[in-house]
This record gives sequence, structure tokens and C-alpha cells, in this order.
Amino acid sequence: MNARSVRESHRGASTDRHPGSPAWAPPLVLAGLIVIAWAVSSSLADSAVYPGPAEALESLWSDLSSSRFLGSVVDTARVLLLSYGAAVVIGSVAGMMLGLSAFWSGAALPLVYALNSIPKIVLYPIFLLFLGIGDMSRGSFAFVSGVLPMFLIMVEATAGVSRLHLKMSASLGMSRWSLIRRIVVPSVLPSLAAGMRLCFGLTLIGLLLAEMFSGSSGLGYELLRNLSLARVENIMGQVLLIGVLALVPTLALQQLELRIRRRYEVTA
Amino acid sequence: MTARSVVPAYVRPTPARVAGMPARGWTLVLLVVMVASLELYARSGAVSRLDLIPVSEMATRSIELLGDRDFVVDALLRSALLICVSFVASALVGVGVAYAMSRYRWIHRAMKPYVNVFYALPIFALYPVMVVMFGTGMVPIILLATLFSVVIVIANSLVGFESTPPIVTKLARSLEMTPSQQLRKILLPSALPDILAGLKLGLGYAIIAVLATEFILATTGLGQVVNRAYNNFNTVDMYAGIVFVSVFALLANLTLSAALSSFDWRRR
Amino acid sequence: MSSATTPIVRATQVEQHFGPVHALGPVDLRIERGEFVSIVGPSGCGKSTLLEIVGALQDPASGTVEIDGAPVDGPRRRTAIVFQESATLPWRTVLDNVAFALEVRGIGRKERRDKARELVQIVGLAGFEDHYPAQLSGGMRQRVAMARAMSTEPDLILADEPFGALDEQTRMLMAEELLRVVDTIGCGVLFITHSIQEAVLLSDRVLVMGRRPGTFIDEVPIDLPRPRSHVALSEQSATEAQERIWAQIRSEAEVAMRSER
Ligand SMILES: Nc1ncnc2c1ncn2[C@@H]1O[C@H](COP(=O)(O)OP(=O)(O)OP(=O)(O)O)[C@@H](O)[C@H]1O
Ligand SMILES: [Mg+2]
Repeated sequence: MNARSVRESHRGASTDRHPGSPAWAPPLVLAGLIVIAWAVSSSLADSAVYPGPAEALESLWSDLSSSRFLGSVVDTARVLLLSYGAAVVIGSVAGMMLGLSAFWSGAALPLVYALNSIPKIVLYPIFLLFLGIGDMSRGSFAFVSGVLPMFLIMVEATAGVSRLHLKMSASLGMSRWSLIRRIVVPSVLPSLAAGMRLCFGLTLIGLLLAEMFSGSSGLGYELLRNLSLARVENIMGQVLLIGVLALVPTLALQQLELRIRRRYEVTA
Repeated sequence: MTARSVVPAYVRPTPARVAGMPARGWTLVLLVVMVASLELYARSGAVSRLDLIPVSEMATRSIELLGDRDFVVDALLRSALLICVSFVASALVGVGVAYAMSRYRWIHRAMKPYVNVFYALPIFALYPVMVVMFGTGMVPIILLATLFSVVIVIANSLVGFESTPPIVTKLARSLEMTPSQQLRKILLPSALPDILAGLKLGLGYAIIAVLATEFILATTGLGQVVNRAYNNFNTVDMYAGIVFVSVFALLANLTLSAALSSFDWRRR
Repeated sequence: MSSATTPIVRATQVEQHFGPVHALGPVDLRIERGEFVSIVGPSGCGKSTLLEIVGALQDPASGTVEIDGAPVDGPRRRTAIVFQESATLPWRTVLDNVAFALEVRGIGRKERRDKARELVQIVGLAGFEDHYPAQLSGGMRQRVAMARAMSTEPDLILADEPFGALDEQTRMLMAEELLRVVDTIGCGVLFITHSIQEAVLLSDRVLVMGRRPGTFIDEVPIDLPRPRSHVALSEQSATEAQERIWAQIRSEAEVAMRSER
């Protein structure tokens, strides 16, 4: 496990740099090809249910000037931020606490893994029954979608803190609190960063699914509303918007992860 | 244990037992305690039967469902079929794409960034688009589930293909093997453990995608059973469906893990 | 309690078991203040186990350990342990790694950095204060660990194959370096190594441990004048000592290999 992650990060560092054209060129070319294929095929199909990129952007533009839609965007962003923050903080702190005890990790982890492998969306009705329709239920559901993976990553990371470093700390007579602050936290930072990136995507998916199933606002709700109104170009435009909204924080988190890994994971 | 330990707690060896019980025993205790408290809470009268029913009733009812021909044929078999088809499709496509990426550098460079950020994108937002284009039948579900699970297969298989030791590749070249011989005799076997890991995850993702899409919008299927029971205020069937789906997902994952592990030379 | 004649380490009838595995002992070990004692022995015989018991990183199954006349009751302030190479913290600079032990003891930032800077000079890393361990060679990292061990002014250093991961030449250089440092601060040392040469070069006494469960099968005093350098290894008494230790270890290792089959 450990050897493997080291190997991967090593390879990551070496394959990221190629001579010749810059790294962003090939993916952009691919994206361009896909958009062209989309435009051509939609104009050939000339069908009401298959709008091209221009129509999608156009309808997105008009959506963005509607205050109701903007309200939905803000709603989703607000709930996402809260549930994501809670998932990261609670998941990582609880994960670290459990990870410090090998015995209790061994006892509790099988249950958490089993829980995590359940398709969580089918649990959403329970949230609705107990919390009602609204921010509370979809926020809690998004939180649960994100917190379990965060928790699991942090338990594994904490359990993987170098035994040698633990022994060194013990030989210096370090207290448990000092150990956590000076050894455990710095050791798990790379995993924390990776977990934060993963957790973001999962929280967002959970939130959108919840909004699609039942809601009175939010991006997921807008998607399904447009579906029932059969406004395909609006759906496509909103999907593009959601993609961009998800991509920006993800790329930022990726950069953060890269920086942390450079500083904290450099084992010789 | 003899007298008081002089060793700081965090470097002491993990005890084989706590209070006379091994970790596995505690796992069971935790499980039983959770189920029992849920059962007691439901029976205590503190919560309405419309919100929560005792676990024992959930279990009995979900077993009864197995005797219901409509449930088995329309929901269980259909969902299982959808999962199988999407899983097989994503396994074939995923390993193929990963092989192409490992062989052709420009494919690798064009696609790798997308593979990296894929799971940050709420791919379920595409579901309404697919429903508009293909109707509410099996096609959009299979498409979405395949798309959702193929990327994790690609990511893991790629790790496998790329970690073939260079010396082995050199050996293959010195033996003048054809590319297809190299693939069958060297690359595939060497990448197998990572591919298998990807397939296990891929099944989990396929299950999640099929159930989530059925749950959001479909005419039938396991996910729809839960949805319909919720909308009909049929709490008993709703919980029975949730329990059924959870056990189904767990068993599917465990079975595939066990089946695939026997191929994994790293574990022998 | 502690007088000039109290040994710095006195272990009596120490034994260790890991489940069904009888890993060590029973062994007696006595190290005088300022004495340099090495342990050599076949792999898996229990050397690290003994060192960790002395350093309060393991509880012995039975037996007692006294350090400086007092029974061990936990990691001790004036005992420093030098581990193998990667015991440097990769996220700290050289200076902060060296200052780590002082920081843990609550020494103020300015004071500990000044002290660390001094020690960095002593171990020959001046100019590398702001480098990270990954930017150093294995030998340099080991110097960082040595400087950290010295920072707390120990009267006992426990070293478990500290140069095990280094190449032959670096090993020799580092060993001479260690000798110099130990001579300056005059502390007792328990040193574990696989290299018989290294043991002879460094020690006042070499203990040879037999195969598992390890007990001491020989004790070889090394009468070479101090200060020493690698030149001393070619003296008659040094080569004799090496021959004697090697003969012991070989017969142990042969028996061990045969019984494992
Ligand atoms: N935590 C442990 N659990 C179980 N067995 C252990 C443990 N630590 C050590 N052992 C066993 O005890 C024996 C002695 O181990 P130890 O590490 O002390 O050997 P060593 O002499 O230091 O060997 P080496 O020279 O290879 O470092 C070995 O057989 C080892 O397998
Ligand atoms: Mg050892």
C-alpha cells in the first residue's frame, strides 16, 4: 500500500512533464474535437431533443439573467459549502481519532466500509422523513455522502504514520497531544488534501441527487424541472454550468494537493 | 501483561484482545448494539410508525419481497441485468482505453487530465439529458452507469499497465514478441492486480449509478421500488427496499471481491 | 543514588516473547558511564529488541532494567536514541529537525535555534540549515539525526544500526564522526551493528549475541588507544578481535540456517 502510493506519486511526477507541446494542449484539442462533434451531429440530426452547443449556451445565458435560477445557484452553493465544510472537518478529525487506535480501527472499519458500499441515494427518503424537505435534509445527505470517504481516508492515513517516527517521538517522551500536532498532522496532510478533493466531488454529487429527487430550489431541482418542461437546451446549458462550477474548486484543490505533496511527501 | 507499562501508549503493540474479546468480536458487538438500539427506538413509541419501523419488520418484509413475483422480475432481475450489462461494458471499454492510453502517448496526454477530475464532475446531471434523448427505458441507465464506472476502471488499469517493470518490457522486446503477444503474455498478467482492483470498484460504481438513476427517474427497478414506497407513504415497503438494496449491494461487492481475488497473483 | 561507580545501564535477566516466539534472553547487560559497547549478532537474534527495552520503547516480558541506578519508568530525558536513516522528519528543514528534541522539551524558539545552529556546524552541515531531508544524501541525513541526539546533552546514546543504509566509505567516515562526538560529550553508548569492523573500531567492548533467543555468547574487550581512527583497524589486536568475533557469528549463523530449513 505504502510502497505503491510512493511509486504512484513518483510516476506522477515523472510523467507530468513531457518535452514538446505544453501539457494543456492535448486535452484542449480533445475538448475541441468533442464540441465540434457535438455541433456537427446536432445540426445533422436537426432534432428538437438534441440541441447544439450554441443553443445550449444561449439558453444558459438567458437562464443566468433569471433571478429564480440565480437563486437556485446560490442555494446549491450555500448548502454545498456548509455540508462540504462539515464533512471535511468532522470526517478528518474523527478519522484521525480512530486511526490512532489500531485495535478500534480493526473493530470499527469493517462496518464503516460496509456502510460506505451501500448506494447512499436510497437512504435519502429517510432523511426526508426525519428532516423534511429543505436545506436540512439535502444538506445532511450531501454531508453523509462526503463524510464517510473522508473518514476512511483519514483512518488509513493515520494508521499509516511511520512507526519509526512514532518511536522517535516516544523516545523523546512526547505527550499524545504533542504527537498529534507535531507528527500525526504533518504526516497525514497529503492524504487530507487528497481526501478534500475526493470529498468535494462526492458531496456535490450527493447534493445534486438529493435536489433532483425532491427539492424546491437548487441546480438539481432546476434540471428535473426543465426535464418535465422538456426544455432540453436549458438542461444542456445547465449541465455545462454545473461542470464548470465543479471544475474550478477541483482544480484549485488539485493544486493545493500537489503543493502539499511536494513539501510533505518527499521521502528519499 | 505484567506490571505497569513504561512505554508511551502510542508505541505499545496492538493488543490482540480488549476486555477478553478480539477486534472481530467487537465488530459484531458494535453491529448488534446499533441494530438493537434502532429496534428499541422504533418500538419505544418515541417515533411515529410513519417515520421508522423496527429493524425486525424491515428484515421480514424484505424477505417477503423475494416471494413477490413482480418484485423479483420487474425490480430485482431488471436492476441486476442493468448492473451486469453496465459493468461488463465498462470493464471491456475501461481496460481497452487504459491500454490505448499506455501505448499511445498523445491519447494519454489528452485523456489523463479528464480521468483525474472526472469524479469531481456530478455526472448524474447528464441523466436528464439522456432521458430526453433516449426515453425512460434501459438505455439511459446503462449509458450513465457505464460512463460512471468506466473511468475508475481506466484509472486503475492505467496504473497497472504503467507499472510493468521496464526490464520486463525490454525482455519482451528482446524475445521479439508481437504487440499482441506482449499484451497477452506480459502486460495483462502484470497489470492484472490493478485491473482487478479497478473492476471491484467499477462494480460498486455501476451499482450506485443504476440504483441512483432508477431512484431519481425510472419506470421500474430496485431504486424505483424505494422511491415509489416513499411517495406512497408506505414506510414498511420503503425500509424493506432500503434493507434489500443495501444487502444486495454488499453481497454483490463481496462476491465479486472473492471471485476476483483468486486471480490476483499478488495475494498468493 | 547515582555516583561515579553506578553503571549507566544495568539490565538483569531481561527476556522478551512475542506470542509463541521467544525473541530474547535472558540476558544481563552492564554499561559503565562513558563506555562504548557494541552488540553484533545474526539477523533476528533480538538486538533491536534489547535496545528498545533499554530505551523504554518495549516492556520486557521479564527482568529489570536500571538506568543510572534507577529502574526505567518511561523514556528518559538524558537517553538519546539514534534510529536508522529515515528518522528525520521530511517536512522540517535541517535546522528544525535538529531543534526538534529541544522544541518538544519546551525550549524557546530563539534558544533552540541557536543551539541547533551550533550543532549543525559540529556535524559539518553548515550551509544546509534550510534544506529539507529529501535534498540531502543518506549520510547527511544521519548527521542530522546525530545532531538531534546530541542536542539534549545525553549521558546515554542508544544506536540501532544507525549507518546500516550507508555505503562502506560513508559508514567509515560517519563512524569516525560519531567517535569524535562521543569523545567530546563523554556519554555511554549502546551500539548495534552488523559490521564487525565498525564494532571493533568504535567500542571498548563488543558483545556477541547468539541466534534467537539471543543471549550473549562472547564478550570481546578492544584495547586500542583513543582517540581512534580507521588506521587502528590494522593493528594486531584489532584484527585478532575481528577474527574472533567473525568465527563466533559464522558458527551461529550456520546453525540458524540449518535449523530454519
Ligand atoms: N513486534 C514484534 N512482533 C512479533 N515478533 C517480533 C516483533 N519484533 C521482533 N520480533 C521477532 O523477534 C526476533 C528478534 O527481533 P529483533 O528485531 O530484535 O532482531 P534483530 O537482532 O534486531 O535483527 P536484525 O539484525 O535483522 O535487525 C525476530 O525473530 C523477530 O521476528
Ligand atoms: Mg534490528
